[in-house]
Amino acid sequence: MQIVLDNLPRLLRGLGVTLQLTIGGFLMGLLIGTVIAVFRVSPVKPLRIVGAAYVSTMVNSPLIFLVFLAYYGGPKLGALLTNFQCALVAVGLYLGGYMSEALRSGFNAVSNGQAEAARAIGLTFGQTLMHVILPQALRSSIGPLAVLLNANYRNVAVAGIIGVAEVVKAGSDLADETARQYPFFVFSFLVFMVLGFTTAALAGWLDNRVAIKR
Amino acid sequence: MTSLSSWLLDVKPSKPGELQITEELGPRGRRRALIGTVAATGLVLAAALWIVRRFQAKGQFAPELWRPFRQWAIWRFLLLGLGQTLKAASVALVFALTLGIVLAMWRASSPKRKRIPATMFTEIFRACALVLLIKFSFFQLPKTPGFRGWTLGTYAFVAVVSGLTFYYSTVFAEVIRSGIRSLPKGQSEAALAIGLTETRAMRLVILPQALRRALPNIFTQSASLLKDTSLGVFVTYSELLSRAKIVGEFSSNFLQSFVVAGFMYIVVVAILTSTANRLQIRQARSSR
Amino acid sequence: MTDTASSPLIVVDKLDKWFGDHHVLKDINLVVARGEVVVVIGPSGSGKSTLCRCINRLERFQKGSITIDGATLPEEGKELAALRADVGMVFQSFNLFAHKTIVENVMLGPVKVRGMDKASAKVKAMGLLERVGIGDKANRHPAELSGGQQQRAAIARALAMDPKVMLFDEPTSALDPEMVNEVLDVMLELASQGMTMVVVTHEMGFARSAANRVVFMDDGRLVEIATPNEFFDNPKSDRARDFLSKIL
Repeated sequence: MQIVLDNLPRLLRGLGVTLQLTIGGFLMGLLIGTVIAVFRVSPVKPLRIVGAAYVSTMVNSPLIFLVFLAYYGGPKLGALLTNFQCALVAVGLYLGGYMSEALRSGFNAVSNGQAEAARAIGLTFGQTLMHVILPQALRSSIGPLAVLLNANYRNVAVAGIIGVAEVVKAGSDLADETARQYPFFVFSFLVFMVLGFTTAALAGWLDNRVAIKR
Repeated sequence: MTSLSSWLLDVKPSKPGELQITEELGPRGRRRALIGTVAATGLVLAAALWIVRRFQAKGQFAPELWRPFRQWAIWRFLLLGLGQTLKAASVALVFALTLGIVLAMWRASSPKRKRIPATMFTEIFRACALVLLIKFSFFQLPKTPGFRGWTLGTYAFVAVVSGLTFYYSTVFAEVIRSGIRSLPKGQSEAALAIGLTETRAMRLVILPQALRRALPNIFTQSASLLKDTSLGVFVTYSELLSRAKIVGEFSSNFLQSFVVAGFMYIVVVAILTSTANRLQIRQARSSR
Repeated sequence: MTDTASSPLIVVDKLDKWFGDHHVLKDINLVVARGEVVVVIGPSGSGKSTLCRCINRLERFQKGSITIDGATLPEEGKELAALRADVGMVFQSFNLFAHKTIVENVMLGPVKVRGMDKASAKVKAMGLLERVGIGDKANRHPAELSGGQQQRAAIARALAMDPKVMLFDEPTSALDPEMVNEVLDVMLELASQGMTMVVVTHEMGFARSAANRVVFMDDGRLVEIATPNEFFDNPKSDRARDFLSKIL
């Protein structure tokens, strides 16, 4: 294990990249997911179609494929992105599709009666949305969203294929350089185990705090 | 004209399970929604046009880039890759599902010698990154006694399959476990009450029902599994994605190759996801 | 505001509603006077709930008109919201806001719609909760209350808006039998204090004791309107006789 400790800075930098992609991708996905979710519930049909098409594409494509697409296709659209940015965009777009569904499920978990009762006491559309529907919808969405966050830190490992130095790639590069494979494998396994347990615990705690007693 | 506008607006009363965000629109609301629809359609078309123009400006629609796809050899190459994808996926699926069922049963049983190993296995492998599992398998396999002397392609295949199996078995185990938990307690109580042993109760009564309930999720996760065969690029497994890359290198048309490959992925995976959705809807309806 | 005491509160004029091809309300004409308690009864599918929900436009109708306190029922938007503030509604499934406490449920309307400050709204809300008998549950969430308590909280929520008329859509149908009376008692008290009420219900006892008029609906039509005594002792129409023989 000494060799791991010797190279710790580089490995930790890789971990940093992993975390950046995980959290950054999550936030980007949240933004995109919100927009797409709004499209999907709006009364305007073209928007609903666009939203559904977006979700279908993202959910049915492998993330690594989107990474390649961003990497090779980005320059063709005229955008000059670093490898990291390509990966980030791919992760954001990918998660956006899943998140829109998570948000929508939270949204649909609010019963129609809640909205009717709100209207019946005279709340306008905007007030109904802000004070009755959204608070409940967001709280119901936390569960599915946390699951996505928990999956994301594992997914972003595919960014290594285009050379992004996240933790798995950092580990395997070092393994190739030092001709010592096992220590770095073990390190990576441990890292993911820790990340996995912390995000799962975080998700559970959050869910308990904000869950609406029904 | 009215039928077009009503198709466009289509504020249908919500399907059961969907929140109706706006109430049924009055005349003013209908007008606003119509304007919004027209505006949105315009915006969407404009955006699509802009993207097409950009691609055109960069010459992405140039025939040379697409000509390789006139040749059957290219298609054959890619389709074989798709075959490899499906091969790895189906083998992994069978193993993962079987192992997942065993894990779920063991986790639900009372003797500790079954429950603890199953729980440990599930928790450990669920936290792993699939990339890591596949890479490790690829690295470790040739060194393991009994697995030596194969071809590189075989190692790649086995690595992908074993990685997928270990990871997705835990995923399926979880899915089936929640299926088991969703059953009313009375089922297991009744089964035990008529004298079945715990194992037989599980096999004859609980598991079939749990599997039926978990079926939509099983399909969804199978779709995920199929997508994850693309991680074979990390270990030179010659499936669809890596072949798309090769075609791109060969004819310098990466974007086009990936688009074609992506299309294939989407179509194949969509079959699984749409089945999952339809099962979900059918189940929700029948449980009312 | 002269002559309001004698002018009717709700006027339903030649109302027709289709749900797709299904003609759910056929030529409904009904006048509800101020302070009157009108109980609507009838078999399932008769359209009585739909009629009740048309009055505050939770359901739309295609033909006819509804006037409340002299003003036509607005189509949509802010005007409709303003009118709904004056029309209280109590639902079969209570529909208390699950993410808020009971007192917050009652306060939401006065604060957001009437523009009351939070302190006065809270005082008002507590007063209403005491009045319906659940003052001690003010800081709980709806899921912690029994059905009867939730429905009483829903009544308090509707009363907090100082409505001109209260609509009740099968308020006790979702309650366990032992809790029905606590809700009916609250409704009886409201009636005795002069609140104009339109109540859709299966509780014949309530109809007999509290109603000024009983409206019998069948298959989307108003079949018979009479005082409770006239209706229960001496129904004029065959369908009413048929219905009463089945349930009494």
